[in-house]
Parts: sequence; structure tokens; C-alpha cells
Amino acid sequence: MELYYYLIVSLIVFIIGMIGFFIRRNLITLLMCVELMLNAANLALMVFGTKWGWIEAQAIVLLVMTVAAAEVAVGLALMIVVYKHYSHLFIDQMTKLKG
Amino acid sequence: MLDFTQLNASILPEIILVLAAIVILLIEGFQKKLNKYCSLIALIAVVGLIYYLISIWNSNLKGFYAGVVLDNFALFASLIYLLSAALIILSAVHFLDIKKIESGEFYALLLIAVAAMIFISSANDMITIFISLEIFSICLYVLVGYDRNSVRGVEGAIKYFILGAFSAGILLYGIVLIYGAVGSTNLEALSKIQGLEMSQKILLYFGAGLVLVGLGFKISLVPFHMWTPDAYEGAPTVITAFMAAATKTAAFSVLIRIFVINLPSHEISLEWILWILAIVTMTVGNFIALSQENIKRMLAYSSIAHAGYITVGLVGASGNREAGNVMYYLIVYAMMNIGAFLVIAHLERGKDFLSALHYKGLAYKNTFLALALSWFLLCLAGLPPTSGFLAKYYVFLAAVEKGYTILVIIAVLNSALAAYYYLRIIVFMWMHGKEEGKALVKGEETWSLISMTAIVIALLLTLQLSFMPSRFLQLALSF
Repeated sequence: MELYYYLIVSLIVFIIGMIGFFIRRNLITLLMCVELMLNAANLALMVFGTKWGWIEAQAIVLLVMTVAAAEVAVGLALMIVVYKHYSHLFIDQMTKLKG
Repeated sequence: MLDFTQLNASILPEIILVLAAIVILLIEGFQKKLNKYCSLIALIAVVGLIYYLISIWNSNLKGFYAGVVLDNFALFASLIYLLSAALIILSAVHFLDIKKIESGEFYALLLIAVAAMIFISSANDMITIFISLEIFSICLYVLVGYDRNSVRGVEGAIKYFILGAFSAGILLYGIVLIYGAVGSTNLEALSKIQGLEMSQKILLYFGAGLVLVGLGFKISLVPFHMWTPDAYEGAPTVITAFMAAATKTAAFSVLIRIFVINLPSHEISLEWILWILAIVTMTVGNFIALSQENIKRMLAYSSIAHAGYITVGLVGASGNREAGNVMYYLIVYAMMNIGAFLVIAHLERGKDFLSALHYKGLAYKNTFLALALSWFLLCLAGLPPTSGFLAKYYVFLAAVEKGYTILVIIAVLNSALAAYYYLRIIVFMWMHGKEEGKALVKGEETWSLISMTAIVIALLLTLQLSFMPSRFLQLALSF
């Protein structure tokens, strides 16, 4: 039964990440929100892994963390280039592409 | 017991592509003098693999405890990626030269992206799907912003990245929920489930919905399409072509594998969601495309509309045969779209040759290019003798046979609407300003035999798909 508490926490974290993604405008904050969502998925994965008694779920969590790290590396590199062009990181003020 | 020969054979294409990418990276790092051979290495790897894949047709290789299945479906999808990559590499040699962009890593990233796409089509496990989706997405984020000095490219890349990362989070949560419902991430296990309890069913529905949203971002279905025009316009034109053709095929092949082939229809049915998404996607895509001046942006919205037509095919698909029709649509779409973008890339010399107005009188300046672009646009519009018509016909027919007449009527009306913005460019090229065409010659285009070859190959492929489609249809329907 107590497994469901963890699941609810994971759902709350996921929703916080999603809401944050929609209301925040700074790129770094957006990236943090995405990380929250990925980590919520990791927590849910651990819960279900325990429920089904499947040890590989823990290995998958490590894989997901690796992928997330790679994504952040590319994302931060892109942000540095963006900062060189715009001198800020607010996504709603980047309007060179409109049509 | 693990059978190592089969294990290696099932991922041999990926191994070859990644090895070629590593060789290119080493050359880039240590032997700058040999830099111009990078494209040659990439091309040899890709073309060699096309022949190899055709030679192992029907062999159904399995590996990694059935986590990777290289069946005919995966082979056909891989054929699309490799053909696209070959054309892109040919065209990129000239394009990168003109734009003065460094070239080495470009080919390495392209090859790794293709390897990940082959992985995603042959993946039979949702975790493999997630990881390969991330690998090719990360490669594409870098490629879209590859021209660091172009503000547009970087802006397109960051928008693509931030929404791509968001969609990855949603996709992963969906996969986890499906795992929670059925207790396995393997797709074969998913197809065998029955007699779920209510709570499991709810989890499965939510999970499948989230997976659909996550993949919907990649194929730019309409509520999730915001990044598409920006990324397509900002990216170097050859990469736009690759994204439009290969990324879309990759995401659609996953959708087919999960939703059409493996998700048990007696437990869960998402057809009505796809029905709504298809209508909204094609209508919105076509209506916004009508008012676009930038030709890359127009083709971006046209690619959204085409995603809608392909979704019609998904709605009408109930088995392998219809899935084959959708794959045939995808190869036709990939070839005609790449053809159109290659012509644009060939013409794009300086900063601005992308407005529709620039194409006025092109026929008087370079008749062959005008002819080629007209043919590709007619294919995209789906007029009768072309492959675009044939592909649409098969896909719509399947939907009608399954009883979705209203959906098909809306789709046909949409195709008629779409003809306007394709024909507009053709009218510009052939019936406008003889003088304007002459004036354009001033900049004297840099002639490149290699990128011309790419256009000719794309032209021949679309011609074959139009007038002698039986060989490709046979391959597409062989699973």
C-alpha cells in the first residue's frame, strides 16, 4: 500500500515540472523543469519496479540519468551560444523567427 | 544461450555507421588536411549499407533477448533513412562550402543520427525506443544550430531543444506508466496482455496517451507543432531536408510499431484521438501555409499537413498491410520533400534567397532547376500522375475501407486547398518576369556538379516511385 504514496509524490513532481515549463520563461529554469519531469519518471519507475519485482528497473533509471546528462550538456552548450547572440536567456524575447 | 553471431548481425548497420562516425571524428581532430575526405567516408558507409540491407531482406534477425528485431519493417524504414542521408551528404558538400561552415563533425553527427534511427525502427523494447530517440534528437539539436554565427539557426536550435527535451520527459513518463500497467517494457509482451483490471487499464490509457503526445512532438502533430516552423527555417537547409524526411519517418515507424502492430486493440483503442489529431493537423498546417512568404517556412507547414495525411493512414491501419501503405507514403514523402529542399539549398547562395518572390522567373534563368522544383512541388501537392497522388490514394483507400469516410473527405478537401500554395511557386517560376529572372543572374550561381547529382538522383527516385512503383511497393508490403 505504501508504494502508492511514492507514486503520488512522483505524479506531483511531474506536474510541478510541467506547470513550471509553461509559466517560466528563462531557459535555465525551463531545463530544470524538464529535469524534474525526468526524475519524476525515474521515481515512478522505481515504484513499479518494486511492484513487479523487476530488478532491471534500477538499471533503466541509471540509463535515463545518463541520457538526461547528455541532454543537459548539449542544452547548456546551446545556451552559451544563444547568450552570445542575445545577451539574455528569455525565450519569449527571441523573435528573429516569425512568420 | 546468447547467439553471438546473430546478436552482432542484428546491430551490424549501427556498428558500421558509428565506426565511420568515429573515423571521421579522428580525421577531424588529428588530420585536418584529409578533411575533404570526410564526406566520402560517410557516403561510402551509407551507400554500402543500402546494398547490405537489401541483401539481408527477409532474414528477420533478432538480438538482445528480442529487444532488437531487424525485420522487413525495420529494414524498409532504414532504407528511407539511408537514402535520405546519402542525398543529404551529396548536397551538403557544396552547401557547407558556400556557407563557409566547418564540415567534419557535421557528417559524424549525421551518421550517428542515422544509426540511432535504425535502432529506433528495429527496437522492440520501449526503453530502447526512448534512448535511441534521445540519441538522434541530441544529434539534431546540434545540427540545427550547426552554423553558430547565424542567429536564426541558434534560435531555431534552442527552441527545438527545449521542446524536444520537454517531449522526452512526457514520453518517458508514458513509457513508465505503460510498464506499471503491464509489467514489462517489451513490446511483444505488451501485445500478449489480456484481462487487465480497471486500475491497470487506466494506467495503460494514460501511458499510451503520454507516449502519443511525446511522439506527436517529433512528428509535429498540431497542438505540439510550435517548434517546427522555427527549427525548419533556422536550420541549414540540408538539415531541414533531413529532419523533414528522416525524423518524421523514425517517429512514425515507432508509432506504427507501438499503436498499430503491438498495442492490443481489444484492451485499448486510441483511434478517436488520432482521428481528431489528423483533422486538426492537416487543416491548421494547410491554412497557415497559405500565408507564408518564406519558402522554407511554407514547406515546414506543408510538412505538418503531410503529418496529418499520414495520421489518416494510421487511423485506417489495422494490420501489417495498411502499415505497409503508410511506409510507402513515408518513402514517397521523404524523396519528394528532400528533392524540393535540395533545389532550395542549391539555389541558396547568399543570405537571402528564401522568399517566394525570389523564385520569380527562375525558369528563364535555370530551366532544369525550375523543372525539377516544379515536379517535386507537384508531387507534394499530390496531383494524379505523381507518386504523391499514388501514396495518398493507398492511404485514404485503407481509411475508407475501415469506414472513416468523413475523415477522408476532409483530407481530400485539404489536399485541394494545399495545391494553391504549391502551384503559386510554380506560377512564379514559369509565368512571371522574364526580366526579373535575368536580373537574378547577376550573382552568378556557383555551379556544383555534386549537389546537381543529388538533385538528379532524387528526381529519378521520385520518377520511379511515380511510374514504376511496383518494386518499392513490394518491399513496403513485405511484412
